Amino acid sequence: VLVLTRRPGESLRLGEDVRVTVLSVAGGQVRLGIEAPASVSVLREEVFERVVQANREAAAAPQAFTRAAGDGAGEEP
Amino acid sequence: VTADAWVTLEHVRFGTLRVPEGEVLHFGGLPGFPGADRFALLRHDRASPFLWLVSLDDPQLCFAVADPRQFFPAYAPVLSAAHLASVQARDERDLELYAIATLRTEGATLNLAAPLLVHAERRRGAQVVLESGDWPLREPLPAPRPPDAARAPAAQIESKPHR
Repeated sequence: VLVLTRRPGESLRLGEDVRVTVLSVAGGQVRLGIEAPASVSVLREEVFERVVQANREAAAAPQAFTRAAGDGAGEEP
Repeated sequence: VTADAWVTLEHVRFGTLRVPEGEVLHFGGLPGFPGADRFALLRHDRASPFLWLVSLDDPQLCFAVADPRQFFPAYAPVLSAAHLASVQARDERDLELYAIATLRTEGATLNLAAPLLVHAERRRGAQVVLESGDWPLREPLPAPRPPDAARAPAAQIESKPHR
């Protein structure tokens, strides 16, 4: 992991077209400003992780469901 | 599509699958499944609102998906430029919209927070995470059990209003 120290008002460049600026640091919270092209998706890590968890549940569920219910949901299309 | 352009896969769930190359969708990975690129969207029953999104890269992996608007007509996610770009779309009208279902014996839920976009013409798909937070990750389906829901007339499925 690359570790850098930045002060409020200072920025980082990620590649050529993403800039992350530290806006303020107060009370254990860091406010960040992110400038990125519209094609770049920016997400909070925990939001992404919740989707990961939901996808894993969904991928596991069809098999479990078919075994439990013994229905025709898994018939060859 | 020429006669030899087929992708063949021994799927643990569906047996031998032969998918025309022209119908293979490229997702470039999904959250939690970064290596899963190629998928086929299979309809197993015309009367069912559910389709199977089957991985052609991992024979263990498949998702039950449905157009969420069949269950929740008010569902209208706001898509960003990044979302459209992820499937090389210029306009939402180019897109098919699906949500991943989690099927459990005690009931099914739909992931409305991170829907799937499919641009069939470009053969691109993507799961996008909505930034608004207005839509739940596990929205219960109105019907008590998915097989019954799959066989019920659409009018009954939509009997419970959303929100």
